[in-house]
Amino acid sequence: MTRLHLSWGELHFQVCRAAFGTGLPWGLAEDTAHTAAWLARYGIDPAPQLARLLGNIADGSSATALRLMQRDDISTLHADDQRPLSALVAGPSAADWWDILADRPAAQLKILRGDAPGWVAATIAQRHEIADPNAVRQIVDSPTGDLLISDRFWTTTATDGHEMPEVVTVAADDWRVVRDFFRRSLVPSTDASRHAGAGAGLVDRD
Amino acid sequence: MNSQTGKVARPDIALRPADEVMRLDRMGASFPTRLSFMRSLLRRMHSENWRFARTLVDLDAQGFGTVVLTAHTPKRAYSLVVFSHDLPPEMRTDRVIAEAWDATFSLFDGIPTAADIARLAANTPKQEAGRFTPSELALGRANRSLRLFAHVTERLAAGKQPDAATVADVGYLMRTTAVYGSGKFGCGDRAMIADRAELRGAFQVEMLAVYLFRWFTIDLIEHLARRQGAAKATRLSGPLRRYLGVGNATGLGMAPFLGRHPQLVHAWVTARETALARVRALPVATTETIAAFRMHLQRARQHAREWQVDDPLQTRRIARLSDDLADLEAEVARHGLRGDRPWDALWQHGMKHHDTEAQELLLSLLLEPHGALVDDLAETMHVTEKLTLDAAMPLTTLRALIDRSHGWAQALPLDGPQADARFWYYSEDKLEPRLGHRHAEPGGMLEMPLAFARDLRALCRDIDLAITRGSATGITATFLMTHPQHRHTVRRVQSLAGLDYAEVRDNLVAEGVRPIDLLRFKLAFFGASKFDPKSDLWTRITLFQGAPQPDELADADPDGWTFAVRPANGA
Repeated sequence: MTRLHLSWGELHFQVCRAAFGTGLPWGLAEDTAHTAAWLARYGIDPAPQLARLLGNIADGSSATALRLMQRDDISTLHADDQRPLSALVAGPSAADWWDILADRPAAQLKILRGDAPGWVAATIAQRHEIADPNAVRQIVDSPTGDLLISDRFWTTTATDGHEMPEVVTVAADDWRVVRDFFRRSLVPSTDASRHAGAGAGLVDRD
Repeated sequence: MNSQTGKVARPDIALRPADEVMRLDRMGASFPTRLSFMRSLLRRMHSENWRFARTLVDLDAQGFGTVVLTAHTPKRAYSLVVFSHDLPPEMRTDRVIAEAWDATFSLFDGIPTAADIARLAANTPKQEAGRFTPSELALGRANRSLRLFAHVTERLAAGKQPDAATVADVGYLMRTTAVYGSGKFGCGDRAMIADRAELRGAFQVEMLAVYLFRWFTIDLIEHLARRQGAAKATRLSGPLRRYLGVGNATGLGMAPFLGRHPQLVHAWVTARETALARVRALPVATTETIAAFRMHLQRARQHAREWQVDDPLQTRRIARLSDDLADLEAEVARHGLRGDRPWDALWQHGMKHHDTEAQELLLSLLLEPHGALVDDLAETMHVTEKLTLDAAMPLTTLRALIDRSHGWAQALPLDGPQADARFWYYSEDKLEPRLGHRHAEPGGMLEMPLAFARDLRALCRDIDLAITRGSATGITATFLMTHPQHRHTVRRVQSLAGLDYAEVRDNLVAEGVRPIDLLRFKLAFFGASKFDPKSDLWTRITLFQGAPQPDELADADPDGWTFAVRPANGA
């Protein structure tokens, strides 16, 4: 498998805009980039999941509207319809809600029929600065399913002092898919915008 | 107060309000100060006694080839690897969409091996189409000034110095059209070098690359003069070597940066405003600081006289600036900077009688004699940035926070098609940032998130509706589940509360918005001078004009070059 090396800046810039290019609002697009960076930091290539998740939104196979149900100590996030719930939408909402539940020892957060439980868990971990990639790694390849988060979910010792790799390594084929979504965030050039949209002349004699 | 420096940790003169400082018309009148990034870099180079070396010079008779220039800091080395090319005139453009340049360069972390140089030779000339590694910290390109390059070469080859007026008319031999840093195209990320003292400050990597490139331009032209004039050729005189800066063409790419880095912008402006407040709070002016101020004022007057541009609006502003500076000099002569808080009195005079350009220049002039009082603030101009979301915040609290911290945005006129007439976007043409007309061009849905005031108004409307309808739990988390379109704005509001200088307090998508104001604001923090607007969308500037060259830095005053004035003919 061919692999590519990216800078962290490239990862963030392109993932954020790829998510925006699929139609996600800016705020969720930013969270998508943060999660991708968290996975990469711990040596998990975000590109394969990302390519799939962006595709799920683009082709409408995953739902982007969600609902919250609360009963006793259990909170449940689920899709607004019968489709699997997009992790790119569920992740940030789950991380938000975990903010509120985290100091309640008996609290549980369920995310039902998500299209990538590992991505949701990574989003929570990133947001709460939980350095526990093993908990995420165990489920990162689960394509769909439910996710139950409690204070017991995070099982391993925090890997304090973990050094950020110098570069991000991604699978080239999957990254190509992400780049295709990234290009959707760019505005097609016209003669008018090419000549007047950026000011400077096309040839200069200074 | 510290008796040695007169330093007031928390001056009892309030910082200027953000409603005044962060408006586009004032931002567009900014001037460099001694806290600007070029100035900080020169001070550090001087105080740490950096050494500079021509590690490799391999140029042919036409000046094409490879040059490596190295800066040795006390702990590390950084090398500018420059490739000098043959560029047909019809391919010469300042635009991002250019495909070829007179020179391309990379700032290398260390001293490159032959293999590194070979790798860069295959990539640096391609610029955005090349691939780079964490060893490269910056990437840039530049074109020769057709107006000046040939003139200087011919004169030096003939054993004569170039005409000072012609040199002053341009101010640079070459002009960069982009300098990329921090992770672009595979280059090293800022996070990887942020713990290095010499690169911790904002844009120090880019400034170092440009400073070394300026050295290259002088070497290149002297090389060409020697090849053409042989024994008859002479070198550029010391004053002209110092006077020549590096040109730069800056377009819309600067504006999104300001939107993406609000915490950094707040730090920059807070440092500058704190410096101003410290000087204004001084109880007396010493003989030395008065003399230094007068010297800088006279130099600034000459600098303004030599500041020639084609833009009619800027020409009028420069003319008014010259009048205001004359009045300022008269005011100093009248009152002699005596009495209680003389600097504040002078500041008040400027605020009462002068135009915005002169007021902002006065700020710069007031800081010049007071390095011991303000230079420590340069160390506060970098931050670790993070925008966070407080999901537990009750909606009523969020709404009150908006009213308290962002009332300015709600007060802007936002109704009607003119209020959102423009949109900022990345073009598919090499990602060139552009500004479109929303109601006449496609692509508005793909705009960059720079319409903060408009987005805030939409957020307030939906919060008010949610509160009225008694939202389930009435907190931010549940609100954002049903209103994900506001997530970006909520995070910004919550993270930037209390950071008064973080946001530009104007509508950046209104008809008539002048991006040039944003560019000048940022470029002034770089330390740029001679702003030469070419339209509302882009400007030319000069960097490092007047600064000591590397071979004279050790014995030079690292702060003695602000408001460079043209050397006399024959100097």
